[in-house]
Amino acid sequence: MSQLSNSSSPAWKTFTSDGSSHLFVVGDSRVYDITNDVKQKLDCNDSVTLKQLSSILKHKPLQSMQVPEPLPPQSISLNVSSSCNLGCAYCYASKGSFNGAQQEKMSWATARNAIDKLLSSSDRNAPVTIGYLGGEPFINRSLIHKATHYSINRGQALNQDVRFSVTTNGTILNKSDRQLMRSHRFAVTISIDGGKVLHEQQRKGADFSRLKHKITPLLKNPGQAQINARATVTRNDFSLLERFDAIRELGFRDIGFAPVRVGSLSQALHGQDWNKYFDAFIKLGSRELERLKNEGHSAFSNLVIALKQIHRGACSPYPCGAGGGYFSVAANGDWYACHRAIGNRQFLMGNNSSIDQGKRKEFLNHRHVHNQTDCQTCWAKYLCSGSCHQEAKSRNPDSCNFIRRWLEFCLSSYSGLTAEQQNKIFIGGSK
Amino acid sequence: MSDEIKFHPRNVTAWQTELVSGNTATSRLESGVGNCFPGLECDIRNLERRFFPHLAVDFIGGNMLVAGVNLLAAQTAGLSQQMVDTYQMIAEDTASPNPDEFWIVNQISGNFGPFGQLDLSSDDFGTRNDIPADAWTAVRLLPEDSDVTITLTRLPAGAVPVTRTLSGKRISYLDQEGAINEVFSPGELSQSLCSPWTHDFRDCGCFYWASNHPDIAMPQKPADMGPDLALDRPVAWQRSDKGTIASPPPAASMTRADEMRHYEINHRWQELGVVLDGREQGATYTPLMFTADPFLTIADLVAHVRYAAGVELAVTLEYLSAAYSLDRAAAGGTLADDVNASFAEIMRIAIGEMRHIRAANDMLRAFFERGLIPEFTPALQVASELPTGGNTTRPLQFRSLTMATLDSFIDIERPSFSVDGLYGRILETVKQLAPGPLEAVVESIMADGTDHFDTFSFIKEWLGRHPESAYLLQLDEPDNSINSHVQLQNTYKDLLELLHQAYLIGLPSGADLIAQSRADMLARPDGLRGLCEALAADNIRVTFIAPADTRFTPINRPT
Repeated sequence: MSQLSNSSSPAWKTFTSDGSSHLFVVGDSRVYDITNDVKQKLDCNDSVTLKQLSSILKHKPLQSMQVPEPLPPQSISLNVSSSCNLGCAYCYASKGSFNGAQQEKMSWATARNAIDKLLSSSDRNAPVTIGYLGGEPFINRSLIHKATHYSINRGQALNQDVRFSVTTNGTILNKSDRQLMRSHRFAVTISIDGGKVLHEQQRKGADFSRLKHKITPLLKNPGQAQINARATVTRNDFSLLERFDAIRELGFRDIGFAPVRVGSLSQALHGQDWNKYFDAFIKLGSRELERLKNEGHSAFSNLVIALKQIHRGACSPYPCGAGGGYFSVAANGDWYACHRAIGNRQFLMGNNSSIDQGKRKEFLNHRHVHNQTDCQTCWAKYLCSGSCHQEAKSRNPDSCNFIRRWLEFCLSSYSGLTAEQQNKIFIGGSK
Repeated sequence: MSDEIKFHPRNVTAWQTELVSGNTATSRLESGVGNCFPGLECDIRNLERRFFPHLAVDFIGGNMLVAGVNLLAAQTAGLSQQMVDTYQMIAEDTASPNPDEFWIVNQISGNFGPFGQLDLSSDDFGTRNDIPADAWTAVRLLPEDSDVTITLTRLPAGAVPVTRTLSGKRISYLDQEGAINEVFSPGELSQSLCSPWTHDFRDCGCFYWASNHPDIAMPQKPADMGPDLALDRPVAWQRSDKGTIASPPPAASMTRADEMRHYEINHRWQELGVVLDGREQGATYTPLMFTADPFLTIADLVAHVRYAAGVELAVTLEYLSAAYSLDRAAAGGTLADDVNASFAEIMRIAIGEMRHIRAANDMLRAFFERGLIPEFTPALQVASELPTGGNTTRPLQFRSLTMATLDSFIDIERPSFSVDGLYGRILETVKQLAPGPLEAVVESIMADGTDHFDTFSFIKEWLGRHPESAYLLQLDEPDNSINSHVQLQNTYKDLLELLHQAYLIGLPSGADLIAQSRADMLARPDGLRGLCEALAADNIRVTFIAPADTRFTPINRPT
């Protein structure tokens, strides 16, 4: 494909779309059209062309890539439940118990203290988000309702915009739960892996019909809630297109896939699995790209989000806000950098009383993409940012190749859009 | 010559990349006219506003009034709960736009430099001779990073006075990169300037109004026009008829008939015109952009940074040798002032160059720590040849400070030329491969170069007033029969060895070794300075020989 200016820390990359050539600037994710002739010369390290490229590269990136000074938290998740009514083999939380680290459900006092701590120092000019996780969070239904109402009232008193998120398997939602989510700004993630057969196969104890019954009223009348489907992909099934269609048929307009990367070898992708996963992604992505071009929207959120991020030149040294603006509160009131790390002392940053700022800085420094040795030579380092902290340990050439190939597909797709299509997708909205 | 390549921007970050002309070197704090009450370009009083962690204070009359609290910083600094509560209490009282209650610092304890360790009450200022004259002077004397304790009182005092005590380290003015400490907000240093100084500058030369009111400027010229003898010549900026380009240069006289008078300036100030790049500008300003080609590989960059360190070492040695050619003892009267000022300035520049050697090594270490290079080895090989602009070089030479020598020093420090040109390329590469604080390090070195260029130009003006024979020693060349010369070479070698160890260990562990090397250079009577003095006293030229050690053997310019 492309030649890099040097192998130790690439500053740019060339790529093509529909026979046209383009340039991607690593430092701040700029995208340029170039002629095929220029691409060819850059790929051959033609010194005169490289010299002219330097005028493009010398612009200082608008965003700092330094380790940031820790700011007050702006977002937390509450691990309200330590159990789940399903038994999915790949669950990172072992049904909410985190392998014994979280035995009890969260008490109201703990939840309230965490919310108070969040609201005491948050930036009033930006919204705060309070998330509910578990296990299955709605097992602790009364706490979710109480915490939501309490947060709304406190937010109004403090002139703070408060928003919510919840990740649920959807199977025990009742009417009042749906009304709660409709009435407030909830980002609702429903765990659903595909059609009836596959979903019930992957999620032990799941009843597809019951799920459909519980979520259809919400999908039809979401109110203020934004609902998306999260489908987990194991190494045993890569029929993404079929799964996507089955989920879409239920009424979802936002569907994302995530592979199992850690855990049992019978579930987690490894070796050649990544190629199969890539092929499935491209098959679905190509179809949905056409839909995007024609209709201005698609439900394939992996593609839509990537295109939007490329459009705005997103780049970050971190894959998420863990330990920065985001913390996850365990049922016992301990604050962790990430909701997947409950019980992992390396991610323990404090509790409802205080946050260890030194440890937080150390974490941010340790997890910075510049400090991930194998990311230094990667042109996609500020797009992927080293991947999920919890999954980084499973990072290997196969998984990294998947990410680079997928991003290259997205860059190519973006660059192939006409101005009219760009307007339709990025300005007119894709929903 | 190939056609220029078109890069057509496609996404938001590409669209946002436009040419923006940045601040000039003369907008740096040290280039401005900074004095007090209220100051011209910088009110120096404001430098003490942030002397205490997480607080801003105003010096009003003899009082130190708390003007603000950075509560977030206090809450996240790992302080005791008691201290955080105190900050919180003061913050709440001072946050209101029209506070009913406010806090003053009425007791301050610390090391007040020449006055020693004191526990001062605000009532003491102005009443005793053995303490600083006022609160601001007292704060100014506190060494950076020293322990300070302050007692604060809430006013108006109620029946039971509310007082609180805080302890902390005195804040530094600059950060480790040499930039103004980030605790200062943009505009804070100039916030209390008297404004507007509408016409006052008419009576002052530009030596006083350093950057914002020039005496002379080149007249306006179309952007696409080539060289023009008439328009490329400076004229009086305050000339009354801006249409003329034949105005004589400003004179010392107050009655400059061709220039706007005081009240005329009040009415026609907008006609004075904005001056950028030394020229009056019209409606559209086309910036002169500094351009330099980045190195294309890390290997290239590293080779040039190592060479840059060698050049810094080489010019340090050349400057030291030249400084010790000055006859400081024989000089008298005006000559004495000129010679002593020249010597002091050259020593200042030489020490500045030594800091650059350290900066270049810090840069290499940073490359290593970021994984850009596999290992770090200190760069302490003296450059065998020095850049003289373009592809030309000259050998390292130990010479007396003649006019010709000064010219070559001026050339090597000339902006966008020789050494500056080398750092320009390093900067452009660092921006791409290791963006962040290192850029400021390189920019700081480049700005120092501008200062060195100006200073050598001044030295030429000072010494140029006298015949060379009046201020230069008649020096003999050294040989190994001269004990001081041999000792100097040994000391020089030991110094390099010490620095090599220090750089290799890095900071903070290497700090002691760096401190020791400074002492060996400057403080010890038998150190580098002492031996140079001894050689000059014996009319022997100060020279330095690179030790026969591969770590210190001369380095050539990279091809």
